Amino acid sequence: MPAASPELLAAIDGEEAALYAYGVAGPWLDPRDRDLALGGLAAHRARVLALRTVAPDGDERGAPGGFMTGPVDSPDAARALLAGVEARLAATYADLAAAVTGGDRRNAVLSACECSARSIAWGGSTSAFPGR
Amino acid sequence: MLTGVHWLSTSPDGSGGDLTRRTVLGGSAVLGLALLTGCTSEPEPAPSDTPAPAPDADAQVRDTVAAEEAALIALYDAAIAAHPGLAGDLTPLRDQHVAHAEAMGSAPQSGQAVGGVGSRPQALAALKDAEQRAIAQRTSACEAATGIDTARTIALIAASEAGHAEYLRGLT
Repeated sequence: MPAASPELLAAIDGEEAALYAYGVAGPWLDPRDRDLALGGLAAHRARVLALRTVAPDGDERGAPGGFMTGPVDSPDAARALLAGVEARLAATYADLAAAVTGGDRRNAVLSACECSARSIAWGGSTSAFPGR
Repeated sequence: MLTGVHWLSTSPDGSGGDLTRRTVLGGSAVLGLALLTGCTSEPEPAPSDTPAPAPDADAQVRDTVAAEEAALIALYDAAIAAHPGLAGDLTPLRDQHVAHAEAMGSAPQSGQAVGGVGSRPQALAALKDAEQRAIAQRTSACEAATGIDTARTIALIAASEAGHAEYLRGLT
């Protein structure tokens, strides 16, 4: 199997970091955000498992705290963390989109769109170029 | 608040696929598999930006995106004119479309006038629909792009517009 591209490994790292962030944020979230949190968690878990099946060397990377920007000690901080995580991951998927072609590119764009929408759902600000 | 709402009706190729909000926000494993098979079966792109085959290979792609952005700007202008109370929410989104057009190398034209935006809910629904169509258009444009920078920028524009659609949903 050819070595995975840097963009692919970055996507795996980003998904790992997102899972970690959801774990940190989860206990602080308001119960009304439960469905959004479970949905995001499920999406990221599915994505990272799929990515790792074709890039197993991604296992050895991983920066689980890579998206942490500070302590989470309130519901607002938890939502802000997840809004930021999702926006940054959207940009990571845009990088992956540029590195692949055809249907793979289409799927990476859709992943970027999902992350961006979740960022806004968590209260993030809209941006012309999310995560940039 | 978050369930069951159709927010993104996209099949970027227009073939009628249908994604519910739950699919998008709830996620699915569908994406990853197709995403990666190509990575292992196709030549790796160079790590740094590869020059496009010809200097203007993506000119038409960029022009198309810029024209579609101009139409969106016109739609926002009409909605803001008809419902000034929405200006605070809509002007940032409108201005982000200007940034999109500029990133495509085009000074946005003042788009053709849009009439009859209807009631506030109708105007917001029309904008949300337009953003969802834009996501599908950007996805196809991104796939057609040959330059890495152009593809990345269009992917980010698609993500921006997905955020817009979610924001507009929150206003309704």
